[in-house]
Amino acid sequence: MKTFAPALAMALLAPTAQAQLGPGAPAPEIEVKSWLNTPAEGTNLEDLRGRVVFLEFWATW
Amino acid sequence: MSSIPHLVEVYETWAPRGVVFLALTDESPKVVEGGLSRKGVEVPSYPIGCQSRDGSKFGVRGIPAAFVIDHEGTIIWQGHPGSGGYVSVFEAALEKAADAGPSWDPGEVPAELSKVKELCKAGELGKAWAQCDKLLKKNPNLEKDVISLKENLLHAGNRRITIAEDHVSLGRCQVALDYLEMQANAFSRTPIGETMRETLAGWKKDRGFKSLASLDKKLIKILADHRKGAERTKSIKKLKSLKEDCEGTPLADTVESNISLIRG
Repeated sequence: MKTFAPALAMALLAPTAQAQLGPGAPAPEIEVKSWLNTPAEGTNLEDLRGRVVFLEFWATW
Repeated sequence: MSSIPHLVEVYETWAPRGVVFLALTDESPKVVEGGLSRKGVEVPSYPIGCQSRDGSKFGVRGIPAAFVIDHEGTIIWQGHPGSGGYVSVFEAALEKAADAGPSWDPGEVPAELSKVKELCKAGELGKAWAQCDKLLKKNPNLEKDVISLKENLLHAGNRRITIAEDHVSLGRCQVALDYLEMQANAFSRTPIGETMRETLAGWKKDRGFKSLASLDKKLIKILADHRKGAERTKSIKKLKSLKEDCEGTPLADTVESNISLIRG
């Protein structure tokens, strides 16, 4: 039993990394603190239900 | 930096057709503006959400990364924005979105039918139908255009009945009921609206249908809670218990595929 303990501890400590979401998964809600060009149709995905949305994660660096 | 310049072109093509573009970054507005101007790139005209930590919720491991989300809030494409692969899903997604609500776009119509077009786009399809008849009485020259518009309207109605039936075949009976009720209201006082009403009446009399609808109601609730941020393990537990209740119905498979999706 003792030999299994480290493995178990490792499993419990492992970060619960979210797998990359793919087709079929519900899109989680987004939270944005400030907008450049505030969207006219709504600032969260709930408001955009009914619309087709292209969402890109991006940075300037 | 990557992807913003080429995205501008995609944006200019597809935004007018109804795709909503959102770019998210964990940077502040100041950093974004500074970063773009340093690179000699103008700030694009689509919304850029700043100081967002949403990448981790989507499981994004490297940027840029992009997602296409359909009218129901479901991811239908995921990949590198530079691949351009998302363009192939836009067309079908827009068509589906167009049939999701009561509104209907008849496309180009002669000026005399512009009021009818407005009514259609507002989802007042029964009123549009009546308006067609009224116009035709006043102006028999419009016959060809009115007939073609009415035919297309009926065609749209038939397509929407098929969508409702597709929901039923997946066991999503409550989704089908809500959807067809909405469509029947939009198409009221048209022949296809009558067909919708008859279909609804048949469903509501069917005991098997009704019990599936109440199970589907539970699925709707669990998925909505999950979307609002309920814990993954809790959602899965609830779905597993719901699956046991639906064993032997088409909803069981639908619940199962939701479990594997949430599990990731």
